[in-house]
Amino acid sequence: MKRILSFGLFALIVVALTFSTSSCKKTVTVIVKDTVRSAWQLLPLYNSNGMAALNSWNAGDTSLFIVGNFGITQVPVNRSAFNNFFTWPLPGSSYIAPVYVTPFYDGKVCSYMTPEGFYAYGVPQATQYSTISYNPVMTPGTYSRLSQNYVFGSQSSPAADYPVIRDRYALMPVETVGTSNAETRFDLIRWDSAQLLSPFTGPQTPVVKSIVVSAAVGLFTLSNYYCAAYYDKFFVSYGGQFFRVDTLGNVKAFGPTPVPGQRVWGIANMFTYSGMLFINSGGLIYFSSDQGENWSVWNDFTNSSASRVIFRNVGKDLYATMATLSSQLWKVVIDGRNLNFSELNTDGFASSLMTSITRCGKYVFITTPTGVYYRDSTYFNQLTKPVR
Amino acid sequence: MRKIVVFLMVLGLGVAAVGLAACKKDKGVSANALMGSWRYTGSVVDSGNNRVGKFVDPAVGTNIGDTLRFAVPDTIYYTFLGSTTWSNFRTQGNQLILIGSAYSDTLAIRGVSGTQLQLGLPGWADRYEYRAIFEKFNP
Repeated sequence: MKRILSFGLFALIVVALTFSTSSCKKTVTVIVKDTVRSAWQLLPLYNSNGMAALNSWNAGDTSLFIVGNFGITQVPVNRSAFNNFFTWPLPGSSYIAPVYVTPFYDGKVCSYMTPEGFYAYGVPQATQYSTISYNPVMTPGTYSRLSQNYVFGSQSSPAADYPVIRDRYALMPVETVGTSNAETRFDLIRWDSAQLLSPFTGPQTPVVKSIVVSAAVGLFTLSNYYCAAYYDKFFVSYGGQFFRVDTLGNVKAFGPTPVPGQRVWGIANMFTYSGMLFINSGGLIYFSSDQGENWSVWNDFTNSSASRVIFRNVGKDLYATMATLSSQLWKVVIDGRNLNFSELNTDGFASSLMTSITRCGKYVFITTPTGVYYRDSTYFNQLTKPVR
Repeated sequence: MRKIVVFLMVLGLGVAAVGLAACKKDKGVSANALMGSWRYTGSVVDSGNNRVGKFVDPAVGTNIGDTLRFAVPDTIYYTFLGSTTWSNFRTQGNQLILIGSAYSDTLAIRGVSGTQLQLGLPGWADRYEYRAIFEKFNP
């Protein structure tokens, strides 16, 4: 009897202990990452042209135009596959003489500087196009400033140095006045935009207004040229000095920096946000709330990673890409005087400088010198890491 | 002798009962409870000694977003100053796991009701926990 009781008791305790431990089944969840298809896809066939993609723009929702360093490619969008490419050479350029810096492109006019001078090119529609060219007459005994020295793939934004305003104005530095570096001749040229935007029109000679720009302080130095157009005005960083030039040729000289007494680092890029215009000067950021007529220091991010990015407007949103050969991408929100960076998914990118971001149809396209990538725009803002 | 046996049997049953009670499954927070739009209203800080003080640090909310929108089945949209980004999410117990494309973050769900959501973010060296408080709203 005693033995039976002992056994029964032992069995009961074993059952109780087993029950109390085995019923606590832990929930183990494994997060499986989909590695079958990368987030960004390489636009196939584009590399076959041998061009470096430097800029892009959309014509409505159905055509993407990719501007390379000697050609422009139309990619019909809203097809199941991207395989109907049409490429035109950029007049005045060739494989052995590509355009200087990144061509400007706004969906209607593509403008650029080649060894043969300045060109503006009506966007090819239905294989018809018109161009104008301008090669300034130099004054003997002066030094040419027409072709500036640039970093390839101009690490700036808008990634262009010869922008066009209202399809008919362009500005370029031409030559020194005499042999001194105290004054420089700029040419402001104007042409008939209706003619440029029409197919197959005859050559036209632009109207030229030569402007002599003086260094506000000291002499012009040899430094990278930068020009962007906002609010129908040119904003120029030339020879270490900053200017605003309007389409009538009026010049406002700011001196070495938009705000006196700041570090002279030239202009890396410009962007707009909430109706304000910004200049990124190596992380020192200026802003203007009166369309670039007066500037203030907004904040100094010189020692942060923000000093090494290019800010890019995409529609009403602001993004940033690395100014080096890195394919990081951020969505940027301006909060007071702070920058809020959200790093986005760039899975699939080769490590390469991003040269432009364009939304067209249901896709976002990003050009790099080694290829063009696309992703469904619904997924463009996917975070790489959710908590900032 | 019989009394001892009965006592031990009762004890055994008691142990089993305690074991069962301890094993009551913690179902945690269902993703369905999170669905909808939430607006950041403020923060508190919890030092771990039941000293939960009111604490307003805009960075706590903006580390996540001004507003959050949980959408079926597993997407969370973060809006900060009108700009929207997104990631995937899932819940596990009381944890909210935010799944980015490359890295994930885990927040603690400290409370969710029909009107309020409290998310815990680990503070410095895990000695504090910031709690961001969101209220439900109809966008």
